[in-house]
Parts: sequence; structure tokens; C-alpha cells
Amino acid sequence: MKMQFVVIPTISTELQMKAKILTAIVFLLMIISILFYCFFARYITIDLPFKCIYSTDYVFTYNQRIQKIHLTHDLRIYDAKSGYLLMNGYANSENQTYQIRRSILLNNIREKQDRTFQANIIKSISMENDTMPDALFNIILQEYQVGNDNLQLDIFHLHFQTWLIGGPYAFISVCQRY
Amino acid sequence: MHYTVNKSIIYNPADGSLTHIESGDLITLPLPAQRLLQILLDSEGKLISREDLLSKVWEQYGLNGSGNNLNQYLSIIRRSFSSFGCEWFIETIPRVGVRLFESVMVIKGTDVSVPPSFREQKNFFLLRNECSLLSLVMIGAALLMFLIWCFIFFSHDKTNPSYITQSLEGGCQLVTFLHLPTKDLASVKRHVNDYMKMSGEKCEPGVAIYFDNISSQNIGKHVRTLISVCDRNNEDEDAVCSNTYYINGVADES
Repeated sequence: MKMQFVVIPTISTELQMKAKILTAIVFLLMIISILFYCFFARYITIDLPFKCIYSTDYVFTYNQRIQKIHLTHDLRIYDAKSGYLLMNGYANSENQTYQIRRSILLNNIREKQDRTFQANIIKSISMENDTMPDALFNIILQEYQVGNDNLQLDIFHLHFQTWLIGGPYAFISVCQRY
Repeated sequence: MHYTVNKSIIYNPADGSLTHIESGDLITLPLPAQRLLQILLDSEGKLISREDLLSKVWEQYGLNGSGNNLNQYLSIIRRSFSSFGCEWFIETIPRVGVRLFESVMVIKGTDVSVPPSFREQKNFFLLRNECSLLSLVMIGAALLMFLIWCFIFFSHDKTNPSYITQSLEGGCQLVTFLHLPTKDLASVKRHVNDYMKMSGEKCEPGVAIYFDNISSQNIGKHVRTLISVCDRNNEDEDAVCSNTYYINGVADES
């Protein structure tokens, strides 16, 4: 006959307490991980708000004519619902200088693919001192557009606070995040 | 003190009760049966003579026990164990005595003072099961978290365009993206040198020049080119960048 002599312990409230604490910690970590994953799944890789400034000279060459537009930009994406692109600067065309003061208001900002964002253009606001003809300004805006009301931006990280801003056609500028 | 038989039945000598662990059913044995069972459980499987049992169960208590009495209480014990699924418990050796079957496993348990009731026992086993389940859940959760964090870690930077940096004559850094064909590097350097001369910039240490001329609309001379000149600070960060974005080609500008 097999005889075994063991001591059966009584129920340990300490064990119960430890089990409850461990369970709570594990579930808390799980919830944090899932929330973190959901956050990244929604915004994927860029933590918002994303604010970036850059200064760009747009040089258009068409039929041997060169058109230069000097602009500073302030791109802000606050969240999926709101953002804007400010454009301030000037353009020289046919011995005239035009002032540019425009705000492109955005909403419904969504990540179409890895770090390629599309947004709806709610409206393009011209400030009072903006003298730029729309036809000329649209040449620039079209570099960012995939449709009349849709703007597309590639936002890639390069180096420390340096980010690359691309449009549907090409990389347009290097910007400094702030 | 209590006994666990075949890990399924608990005998508590304090109240003479047999408890079936799985179902929670309980049988209280009559006093002679309790004494008999106690002797059997303490016997460690050794053979016990009938005379010895009669003496210890009845005579020591000033009672007269007969062979029939002994058979009757052995039968009660057998039936009790049998009802809890233990068919082979007491083995009778004719004209000699009885002993526990070799297959019977007895675990002798001790407690602080009071033997655990069935409810406590049940809770203990439930707790052990819960702990095992908890361990599984925790391992699973840890694994899930590890996978999520791995996914985030490894996918974090994969979408950023890879670039190469090379020094140009003068000490500035030229940054081009990997999608730029290697064969084009020589012409890129020429473009950049021309641009630097035209714009009055100097190629010197602390200056980084980003260049890219790949466009989805590259057809003939309809190209788009980005040249960005950045001054880097002491921490090697791009402090100020000046971008020039050409449409329809650098070559056309003169």
C-alpha cells in the first residue's frame, strides 16, 4: 500500500490577496496595451498633435517661364477631426508682387496608409491682405491635393525634429517639428 | 488530523464523517465503524487480526464485540466507501484478518487545530484551480502584451524612407533616399553643386542637404525636385532648413 504523509495547508488569505493584486496588475497592463495598440492603430505611428513649420521656395518652370513663390508653412494636425495648413509669403509674377496669407482648414484627417494622411479641406481662407490670385495659388495647393476637397500628406520622420513632408506627387519639403 | 483516501474521500476522525470531495456528499459513521476505520487507516496496509480488532474496538471500551458485529461494521465501511466510488477498500484474509487493499492510497493530513471542514477543503481546491487558471491567464496576457509591444517596436520605423548620407567636397552632408538609383548619384551631386553656387550657399561642415527628385509624375522634363539645405547645431539637429521645390526640372532654370 502506498502511504503518503503530507501537510495540507489551510486557505491563505495572503495568497488570495496576492492573486487579486496580480490579476488587477495583469488586466491593467492588458488594458493599457490594448489602448496603446488602438491608439497606434488609429494614428499608427505619429503621436498627435503634430506641428511643423517649414519655409519653401516653389519654383515653377513652364514654357521657359519661371514662377517663384516663397512661402512659410505652419502645418498643424491636432487630432483626427481638426488641423490646418497656414501659408504666408509672397510671389513675384510679371513685375507684380502678391502677398499670400492663406489658411487651409482641415478635418476628417485619416491615415490612408503608413504615414500617408488624407484630409478633407473644409475651406481655404484668404486673409484681408492676401492679394494672390487663386489661379496662381492653386498651382501650389495642387501639389498637396488628390481632389478638389482632399489633401494628402506624407509625413515621415528623418532626423531628430526633422520631418519630411510629401504630397501626392513628390516630397515637397523638410520641416521642423515643434 | 484527517485522512484523504485515494485523493477523493476525506475522513475526519473528530466527527466520524466521510466526505466525498467531488460531490460534497457526507456520511457519518457509527462509533464502532469510526474506531475500526481509524485502526485500518493507521495500519499502513498491514494485516490486522480479527482478535486484535475485536479487542481494540470493543473490549478496550468495556464492550463485548462478536464476529458478527465486526462483519457488520466492516460491511458499513465497505458500503460507505463503495458509494463514494472506492470499491476496493478493505481486503478480507479468511480466518486471519483484514487489511487495506494495496491500491488504496491514504494521505494523512494535519491542521493547525481544527480539521478543515469540507467547505474549507473545497475552497482550498477551488483556490488551487483558480490559481492555476490565473497563472495561465497571466502567462497568456504577458504573451499578448509581449506580441503587441514587439509589433509596435518593430513596425514603428519601418515606413520611414531610408536614406544614405555622404560627405561632399567642402564637408557638408548630402542626404539622399534609397529609392534614388545609385547611377544617378553623380548627377545629383552636380545638381546640388550647381544649386549651392546659384543660391550662394556654402558646402561646409554642419550643413546637411536633403535631395530627392523621384516623383510619381516623372515624365520627360516634367520632374519634381526637392533640395533642402539645413544648418545643423552642435547637437547634430537640423536647426534651420531652407527648401526649394522645383516643378518641371532644375535643368530648365537658368
